[in-house]
Amino acid sequence: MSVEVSSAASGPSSFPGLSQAAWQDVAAEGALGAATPHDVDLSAEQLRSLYRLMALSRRVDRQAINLTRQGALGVFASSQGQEAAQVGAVFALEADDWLFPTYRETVGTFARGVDVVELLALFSGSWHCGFDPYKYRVAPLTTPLATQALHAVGLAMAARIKHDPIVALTFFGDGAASEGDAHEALNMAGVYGAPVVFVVQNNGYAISVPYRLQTKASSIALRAAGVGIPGIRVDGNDVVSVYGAVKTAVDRARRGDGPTLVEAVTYRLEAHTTADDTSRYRSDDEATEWRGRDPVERFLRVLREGGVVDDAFVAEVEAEGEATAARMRDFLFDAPAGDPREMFDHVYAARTPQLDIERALLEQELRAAEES
Amino acid sequence: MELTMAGALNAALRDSMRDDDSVVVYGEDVGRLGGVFRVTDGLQAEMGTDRCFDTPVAEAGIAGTALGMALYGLRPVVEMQFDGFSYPALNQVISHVAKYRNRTRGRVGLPLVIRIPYGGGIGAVEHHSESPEAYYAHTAGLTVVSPGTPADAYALLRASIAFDDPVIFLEPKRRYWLKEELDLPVAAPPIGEAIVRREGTTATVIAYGPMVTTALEAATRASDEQGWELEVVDVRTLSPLDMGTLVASATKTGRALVVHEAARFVGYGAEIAAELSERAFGYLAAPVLRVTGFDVPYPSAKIERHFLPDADRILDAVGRLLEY
Amino acid sequence: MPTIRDFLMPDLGEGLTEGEINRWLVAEGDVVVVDQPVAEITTEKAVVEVPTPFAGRVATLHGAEGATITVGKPLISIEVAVSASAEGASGNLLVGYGTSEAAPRSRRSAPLQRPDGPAPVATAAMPPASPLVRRRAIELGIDLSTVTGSGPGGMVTQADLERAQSRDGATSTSEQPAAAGTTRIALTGVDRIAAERLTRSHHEVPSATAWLSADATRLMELRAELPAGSTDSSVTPFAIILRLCTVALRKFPRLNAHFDTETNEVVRFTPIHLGVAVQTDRGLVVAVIRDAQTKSLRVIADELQVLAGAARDGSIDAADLRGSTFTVSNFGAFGVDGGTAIINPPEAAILGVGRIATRPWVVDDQVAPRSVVELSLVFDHRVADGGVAGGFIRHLADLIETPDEAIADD
Repeated sequence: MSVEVSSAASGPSSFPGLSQAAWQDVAAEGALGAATPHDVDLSAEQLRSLYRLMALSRRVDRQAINLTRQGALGVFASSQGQEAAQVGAVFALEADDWLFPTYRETVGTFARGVDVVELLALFSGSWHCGFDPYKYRVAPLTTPLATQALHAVGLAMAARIKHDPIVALTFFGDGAASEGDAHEALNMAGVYGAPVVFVVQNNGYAISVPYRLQTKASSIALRAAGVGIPGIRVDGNDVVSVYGAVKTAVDRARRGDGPTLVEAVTYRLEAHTTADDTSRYRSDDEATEWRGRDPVERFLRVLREGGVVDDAFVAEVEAEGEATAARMRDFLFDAPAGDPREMFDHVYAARTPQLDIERALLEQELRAAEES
Repeated sequence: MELTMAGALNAALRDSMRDDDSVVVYGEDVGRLGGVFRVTDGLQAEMGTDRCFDTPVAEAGIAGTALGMALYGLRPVVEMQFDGFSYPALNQVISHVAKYRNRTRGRVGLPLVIRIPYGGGIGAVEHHSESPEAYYAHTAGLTVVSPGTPADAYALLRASIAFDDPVIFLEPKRRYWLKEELDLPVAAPPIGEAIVRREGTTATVIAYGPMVTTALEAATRASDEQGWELEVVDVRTLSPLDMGTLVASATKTGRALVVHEAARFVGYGAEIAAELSERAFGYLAAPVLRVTGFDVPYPSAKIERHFLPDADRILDAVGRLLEY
Repeated sequence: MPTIRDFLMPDLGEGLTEGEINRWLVAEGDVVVVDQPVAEITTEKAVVEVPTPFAGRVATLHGAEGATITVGKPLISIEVAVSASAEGASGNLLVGYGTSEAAPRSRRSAPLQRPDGPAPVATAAMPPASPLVRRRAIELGIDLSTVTGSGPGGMVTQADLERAQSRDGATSTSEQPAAAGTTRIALTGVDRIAAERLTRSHHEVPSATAWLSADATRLMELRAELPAGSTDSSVTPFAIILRLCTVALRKFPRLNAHFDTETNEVVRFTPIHLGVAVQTDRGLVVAVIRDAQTKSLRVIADELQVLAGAARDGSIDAADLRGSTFTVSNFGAFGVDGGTAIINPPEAAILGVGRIATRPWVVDDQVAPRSVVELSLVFDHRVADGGVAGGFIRHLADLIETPDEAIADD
């Protein structure tokens, strides 16, 4: 039941190192090459930053699960186990680049800088998107699978038309890769040379459906050959390799050489959402095996071994994590509902006469309820 | 200058692109070929392939990328080649295009236009004669416009392109070759306004898109043959609907009917009938009738004339209205 | 000063309504920290560890292991130390609060009005009114343009019409202020049903009347000459006329019919089931003599007496009150000459027979006192016309004037 990982990542705790990435390239004829090493330029400060983002986002993820079990969030999709894939990828973006995430990328969007309370609005039931896309250059967390990939392609095409050297990065999963929109996005990006990077997190499952029932292709990266664009397959639990692979793709896009498909092989340690029961479709042994390749733990170990972080730093990050979690509890537990009249205000730029009428009807109801 | 509706649409696209370089036009066969109905003829030659270009056959892709472009600040005007082929894009349109402003609490507006040639009466094969306006009009967040005349085609397309919310622009393809004497540019009426095309007192005939011509034809015959003076109202914007104009007319004549090609059951006419019944109940001498296509999949070319509403059916319905 | 905070059972899976306590992980009295797992809950979908949102001392566990807790009800109560953030809670609004019934709202005192409801049109010739009201206005002979509408958008309502009616002096059926000396009697049971039938008949049937007077002298003589029968019942003049009706209806079968308003059909009957209106303490009922065309005068007279008696003392069978094809009403019993009876729906006609009174008549060019009876036929004009109605009543009159042959065998 386990998914093949890149041969460079053999054994539970090894990965190439802090300055070396490894990944497999898809050849034009559609074969996956052997894993090749690449130098990665990450300063000590950047490495610490990567760790901090991974550790904080894990703490946020855990707190969100707790808040869900306490009824503060209606549901939550955990990305535990996928921190390296998401943080490593967004770390490769520049300030003006755009991100098109799904409901699975709480970790990635948090790492990109979106305020955690605004981010969780989707799950807390207060509004379908709680943050301003233009403020963070992050699109709303999208639910219908693969549909946001086309939005990323469109934005990238627009940037190209306007000669803006920016890149759009979108995430989707092994399940979403089966959707028609995923193919249309990859294909159109190729036709127009759009500056897009598609990061497919292959975490082995689409809710309960395992990879082998999702597609007969041995790797999702191979689709790149089908649409004539470069493809990469990388160990999604090796944050340095993910960073290296995505950085290569981002640089390629920015200089006008078109899109890349990056498949990051990883594992979803928690259930699909808090409403799911994993015991119905996978074994505990499998999860245990993947915990042995925990991306945060192994990265921390190598950072310590390399003298890049010390106990004080780790403690500082942990404290920051607790403060963030406390802030989440304060803002999200017992959070009041907004004004229901707002549901009429953003359907169009200006409310139509019909919406004015409906708003007035609700207004009457609310006042009558207040008076009784 | 005499222009066909297709020519008027072409002029509207050209003038909009000249006035605003954020306007980009794309879709299947719109660039090199100039569109299967020539509505985008000459645009690529004049504006270049960055402003007017062809796409792979990917309707969801066309709609989804239009969203991304609008998010970035462009004004994409994309084409679904035929009504029946707009359906693969429905997920993008309903799940995202319609909802994006609301989802982002008003921070992101999508000033995009999706042009769709629609309707029957052209002797086409299956999937090329659909009337899907009800699906779009029923979706909150979409603005749905359908011109009935060449002048309106020019004016309403320009208004739609300049509009700050997504517009589904339904072009009555059987009227593409309708001619009108036009002095361009024609001033754009506001989105959301219906218009009385012909004044009358006997009964109100409410129509849009391809049926505007049919309704006016029925009115001429009604006057000549029966001495009935029909008032014809052209809806123009299906959503948001200008009920004020419709109510005023129905109240004045006391008798109203709606005509559309689309099937009767849960069709757009039902909305107008229900609203008029609620708002003009006391002034109606008769129930609001609907003259529509049948509740069947659009038939083949040789029998489509039996499906489509025509002037005779409109006159029959007026006769029924007058029985009350 | 410690406060008790209730942690309410959350919806653990997108619309679930309850969960079962599989296992408690803490006991009452234990000190817990924020997010510490306190219970294992089994739901339809999974077994979930639920962490406490409050830190403090466990005050109450709201159920034993195995108990089911409804979403929104308290699961565990924690005694917390009061702090700034603990105050000002909004009331524990739960997200995903299950699919259980919302608490019922108290009914509003008045319905909410749409702001865009019907609006009066100043230029309209007539005020707005529903089709029903317009029809009623025509029936009542009220000019709508003189009525003020009190309904939405100035619409004229039924009540407005009734007010206009009483204003015009006609008897009003609307609410009037109760005056001293007024008694209200509600129509119930038979009366109510009869009222509904009569109203319907009055509204729906386009009726017309034909009447004439007949010389019943010979009929009265014949009656006196009848041999005493084997039964004790006497043959009344009315019974004779009923017998003669069956003869006349055989010649004019169009009147022995119903009108079906649903299918717009005239339904003609071969048998003649004569309905006879009988006055009882409980009101007017129609007793039915079935297959009257097969029955002799004697049999009809007997049955008439039996049915009338049963109707009056309330013992009449329901079957005997149904199925009439033609009804006859005895106005003579009230001492009047005739009237326009109300058709018994769905029948096509009703015959009214007045009293037999001595009147001046012309016989052989001389004025002579004769026994005269007035016949009035009210008929549904959809089923028959004046020719048929007149023909029938003329024929019946002929039979009354010379009944001998018709009842010779009886």
